[in-house]
Amino acid sequence: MKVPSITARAAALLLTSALQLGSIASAHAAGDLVIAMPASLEPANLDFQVDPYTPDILFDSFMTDPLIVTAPDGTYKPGLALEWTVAPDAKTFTLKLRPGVTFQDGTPFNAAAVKYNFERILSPATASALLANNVGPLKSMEIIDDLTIRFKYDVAWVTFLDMATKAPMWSPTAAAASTPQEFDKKLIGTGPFKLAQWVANDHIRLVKWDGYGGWNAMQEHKGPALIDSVTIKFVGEESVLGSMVATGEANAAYQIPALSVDQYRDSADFHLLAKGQSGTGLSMIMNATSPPLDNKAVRQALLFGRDMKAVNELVYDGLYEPSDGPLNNIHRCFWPGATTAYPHDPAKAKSLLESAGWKDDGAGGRKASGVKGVADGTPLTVRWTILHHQEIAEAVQGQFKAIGVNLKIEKVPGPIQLERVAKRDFDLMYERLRSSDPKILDDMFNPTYNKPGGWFWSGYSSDELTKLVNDVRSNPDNTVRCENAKKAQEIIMEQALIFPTLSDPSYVALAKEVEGFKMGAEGTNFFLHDVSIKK
Amino acid sequence: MQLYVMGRIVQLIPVLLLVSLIVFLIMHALPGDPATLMLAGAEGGMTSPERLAELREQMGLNDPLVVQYWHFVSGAATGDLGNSIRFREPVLQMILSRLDSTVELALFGLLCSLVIGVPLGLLAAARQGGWIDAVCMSLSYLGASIPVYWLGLMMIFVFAFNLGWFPASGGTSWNSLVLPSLSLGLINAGLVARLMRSSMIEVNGEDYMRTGRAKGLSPGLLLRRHGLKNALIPVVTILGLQFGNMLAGTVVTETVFSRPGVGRLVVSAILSKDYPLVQGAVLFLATVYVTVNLIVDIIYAWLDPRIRYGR
Amino acid sequence: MTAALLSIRNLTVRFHGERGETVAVDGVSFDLNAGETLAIVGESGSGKSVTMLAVMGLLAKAGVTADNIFGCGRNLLNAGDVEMRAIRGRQIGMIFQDPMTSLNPVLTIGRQLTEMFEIHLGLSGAASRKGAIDLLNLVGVPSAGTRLKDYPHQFSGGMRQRVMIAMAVACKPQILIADEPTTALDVTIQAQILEILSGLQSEFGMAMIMISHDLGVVAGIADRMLVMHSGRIVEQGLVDDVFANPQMPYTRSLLAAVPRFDLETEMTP
Repeated sequence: MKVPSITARAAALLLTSALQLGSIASAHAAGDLVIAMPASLEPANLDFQVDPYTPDILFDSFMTDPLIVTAPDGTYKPGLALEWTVAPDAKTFTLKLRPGVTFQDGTPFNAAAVKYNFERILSPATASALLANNVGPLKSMEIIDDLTIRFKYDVAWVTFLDMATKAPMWSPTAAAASTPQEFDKKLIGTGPFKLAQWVANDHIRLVKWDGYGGWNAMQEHKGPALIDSVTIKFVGEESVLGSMVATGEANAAYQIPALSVDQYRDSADFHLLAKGQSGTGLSMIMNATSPPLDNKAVRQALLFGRDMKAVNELVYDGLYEPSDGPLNNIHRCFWPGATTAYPHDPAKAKSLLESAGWKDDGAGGRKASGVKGVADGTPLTVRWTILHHQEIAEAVQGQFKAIGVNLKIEKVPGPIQLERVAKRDFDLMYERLRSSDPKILDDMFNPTYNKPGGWFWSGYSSDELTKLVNDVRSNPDNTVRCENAKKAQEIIMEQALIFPTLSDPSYVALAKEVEGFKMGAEGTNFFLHDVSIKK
Repeated sequence: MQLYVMGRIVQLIPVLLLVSLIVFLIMHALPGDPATLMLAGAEGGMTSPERLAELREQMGLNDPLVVQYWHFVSGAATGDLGNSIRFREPVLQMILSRLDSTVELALFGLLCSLVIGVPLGLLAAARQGGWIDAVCMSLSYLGASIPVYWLGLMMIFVFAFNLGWFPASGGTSWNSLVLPSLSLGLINAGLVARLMRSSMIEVNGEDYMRTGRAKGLSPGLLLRRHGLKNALIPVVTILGLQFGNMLAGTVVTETVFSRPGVGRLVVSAILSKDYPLVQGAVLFLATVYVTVNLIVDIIYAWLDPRIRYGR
Repeated sequence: MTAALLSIRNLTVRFHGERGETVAVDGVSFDLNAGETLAIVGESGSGKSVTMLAVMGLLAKAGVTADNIFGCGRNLLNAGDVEMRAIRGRQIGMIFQDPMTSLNPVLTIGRQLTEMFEIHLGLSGAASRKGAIDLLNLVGVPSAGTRLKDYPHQFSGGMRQRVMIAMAVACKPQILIADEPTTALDVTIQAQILEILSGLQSEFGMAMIMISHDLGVVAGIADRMLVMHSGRIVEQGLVDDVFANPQMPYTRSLLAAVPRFDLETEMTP
């Protein structure tokens, strides 16, 4: 019988070539920064003027500078605008632009270019999903001179400056030559990097622009970038993402899962950076319109039965951050009283539940007895509806058992979440907004937004609260806004309308040869303007 | 033969029409509205209701259902699958740019399943009842029970992270195809092996094999020339179905291995209720699947002369 | 006395089934001489085919025992696989009952014929092709050259059996075993096939073993016959003798079972 020597030789060949495919680690060229990111961050359209996806703000910031830059300490610094004046009634905003700036195609940057961009944002042809909303009811723009432009509103638009940190400025020449659908493949801005290639679901490649003049206060050395290119790789599986830097497949990884952090902590071979994200944190809004949570005592009981410190230790090794109120703890308008409003007190929780008519049934649960709208004997079950982070829910489930509450966890996809909200068919619903501005309180607790597409989910309103959040939305005085935001949070917590859990910070792993990487004020932002790769 | 092929092609049309109708109805029956979902997913805060209404109008979501369906089908007949709501790009273009990644994966996965499954099945049939047979069959059941998600992750951790032989992600190079194809292939090899085994056992008992032995043919020659061609026929007939399995499997594999394929695209399109994208992609994939089955039927007819020369 | 071409002593074949052991062939002994035609006769299940399959080594070795089996000058009982494969098809040819299932449906008959030349005679290409065409001419298949490319299902029953015969005699074997060669065919074709068989036999000088349950066939073609029943030989002798003067009751009843139109007997069911 002939020995299949050909097959044997082929197998040997395959094996040796596989072994030689070997170290993929050395694949990067010297000046190439490869950042791995979760695939969920990839937008449909790279232009934030069109797409509502907030990661776009970050990607656009590499390709073009915003008018105003938010420094890591949270203050506003010059970007493409050097100075800005806000009228006391917050209806007029005057920007003085930076001279000597050009776009990557040579078009000069000036007031006309800024006007073009804002017109584009508001144009129906662009169909801007979010940014147009942030620009708001802009009445007019006046070009005072080549480098000065004035924006006028009929109502106080207190979030104008915040919007100016996010709106990307594109070259009018390039944008006019393209449709909004196509332009996001050929974006031309003023930034240190130019868009070279975007392979959807795979990667975005940016190359250094030699004509960059350092038009951003955050750049320490003024001039072109110190690296040749940036490749953003989208990774679909979070455990794989967490290991990409450790194995050398990337030299940076952004928003790695908490459980992958250990490999990079306290290591001479890697840097580990972390920054929180201001907003509501991962919170659960309570449905105050139907039993069992229509009774404040029950809502408060749940908060007393909550021990997030323990959950954080148990599930994330303490790597997540506290979020104790409607706004999370790192928010600049966080009400500090939230941390002490509901200390972990299972005894108090139990007595509140008892007095609310949910009697201990002797078998670890509770049954209704004289509860309005609930038949006697109904067991106490509270539904916890989420999109992700199921592990937090499971830990809370254990804590609630101790006070006799049966927590039912429901993990649903986005469309179902919105459907349930529309029908008010939930007990505790995952709701999260991210912003360093307190106006998100208005979005969530102002009954005007009790309509499709709105975030008013709890169903509770009071004149006092409504008055406060209206002020938060529209008061031109930032200090007063923040104060009223804190007062609003106090009422929300007193009414126990929200069950805050934790805040997930962004963890960034860097190979040790990557230098100059700077996190922004929020974990959603970072700067590559000074990044270099040591040989 | 020509007539047979023409007839089969004509049969495709009602099938595809039905697919288009079903997917259209399901998508519109599911809860959710693309504009609201898009904004909710952005977690950026409140959009004014006027803005939302404007957006819906701009997305073309207000036409009556029948009109929307007619646009879809009439467009599809001319090759225009409309524009994605979310991406605002032509659906056909989006699919085509990702298609080769998915088709590559499906084909190589199929190849792996055959390369592993056929010899395994033959071995089991040759040593029928022995311990090799038991091992082979256990492997095949194992393959059918293991979720491809888990297997994919395991392959990444062993071969990409620990041994560094292959990359863990990406869809652009040849060696990024190895691990995902193997994951898919190993799972489906089980089915192929079992079918090969029973087919081979049946063939071995046929009269013409006895004649072959009576003619003095060596076992090797008997297997290769007389047995294999007959035994492979049932395996070939399920190739079409297997390809369908592969296409389905690519959805998960593409996510685990971060490949830019059509499967992943369809899943995220469903969750964002991107009607044109889902409808177009499903119709497209259905066409691919049906065409592949047609090709398989033609191959089968060619393999078996009794059908080729028809009676 | 010249030695017999094939000599079988005390052949026993056992099968292991679910319900224990069946003895299909029980202590069978007979000889086959060069050039003669021996018929093995009996009803279904009498062990006729199993006997010859055992001799050819086509059954699992475990169930076959005998004192000895000698054929074509070799010990067939103890022969190894390689030795047996050299004998099968080359020294001993065999044809089977149903030519449709006994021919490989996915190979051309040309392929199935030429491989005999390739394996046993070391011929290839044009030489084996020519040999195949000659064979088909010999067995009376018209347009032999073009028909080499055809598949079994494109032939009629009678033609297929001719192809089977051609395959079996390709290497001019010393012995040809025909297991119920005409049972699956029309009566008119039967005669043709039998004629071809005897023609080949005299041309190649082969000895033939004809297994059949059809006494008419036996009468026409065989020199000697064995009668088998339940795995044992109950009678053997020259065909004329056995027909004229059956010794055993079983043989008598077998002969009596054949309808005869030349006698004025009543036909009772």
